[in-house]
Amino acid sequence: MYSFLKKSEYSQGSGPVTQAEITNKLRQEFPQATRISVEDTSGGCGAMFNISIVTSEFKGLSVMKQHRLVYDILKEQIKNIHGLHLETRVPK
Amino acid sequence: MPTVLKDEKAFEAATQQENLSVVHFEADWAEQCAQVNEVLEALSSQKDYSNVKFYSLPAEDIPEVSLRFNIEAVPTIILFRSGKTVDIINGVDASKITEKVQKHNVHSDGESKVKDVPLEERLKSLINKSNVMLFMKGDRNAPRCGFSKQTIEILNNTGVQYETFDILSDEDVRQGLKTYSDWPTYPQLYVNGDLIGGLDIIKEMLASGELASTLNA
Repeated sequence: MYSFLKKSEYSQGSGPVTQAEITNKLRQEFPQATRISVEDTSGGCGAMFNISIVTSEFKGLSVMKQHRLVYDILKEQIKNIHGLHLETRVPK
Repeated sequence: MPTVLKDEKAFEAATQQENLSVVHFEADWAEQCAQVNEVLEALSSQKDYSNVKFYSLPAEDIPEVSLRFNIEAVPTIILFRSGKTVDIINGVDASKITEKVQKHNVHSDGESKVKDVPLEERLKSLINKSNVMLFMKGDRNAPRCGFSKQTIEILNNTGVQYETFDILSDEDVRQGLKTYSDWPTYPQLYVNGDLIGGLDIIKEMLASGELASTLNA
């Protein structure tokens, strides 16, 4: 019914979103993070990502607020990707 | 065949008209697009639609326009009038295309009344339409995305009563709700008017045992 456009071929800007770009942005915004894991599950196409962040900077925030915080930080990147799985944790 | 819009200028000129214009975002390598062109060709030859303008636009060749409308896949058919998006059809769905062209070809005042309700009010009433309200791609019987599909499965397993809204059917709601709720993705689950979150959060609640109580609040 539907064919997906090869977005990276016509997106403006510097091409598809990379795992490195996301990781760097998160490292910048969460300096106290004990773990930041970003995986491109679309085989390098920059379309789908699994993201996991463990940082004390989430303390006191509800899970939803933690997710919202990450979404705000990755606002620009999210515009250019198809989807992402996000896991946020506070260090034990 | 529908007139081809070669550049952004042509697109603007076509969609600014007061007539209903149907723009088919296509790619020549996609089989479904040829099918949509046939549907549009057939509609254009009908007397009832002599005032409707049919166009096709090679999506990958005019990125400025395609990106503006977040065209992620083809075929996508957008109906315009006086520069405003009136409706959108995703994928080759001949009956839906026909239905929507027919629906929007009407120049009655009744139509504009619906559009005049401020978006924020519409969003508020949609969010509160049911105790448990899911904004998703597609509907519960035909989810149009993996995340939406998983969410439906989880909700069905809880046995809770819920309603859904297909954000693919209404671009205003699709974009407006993201801003209104400050949440950039779909699906979005609301309970008693409050945003709970998306699939990730629902899965976590399921794992921690909080989901049932949250849904039945």
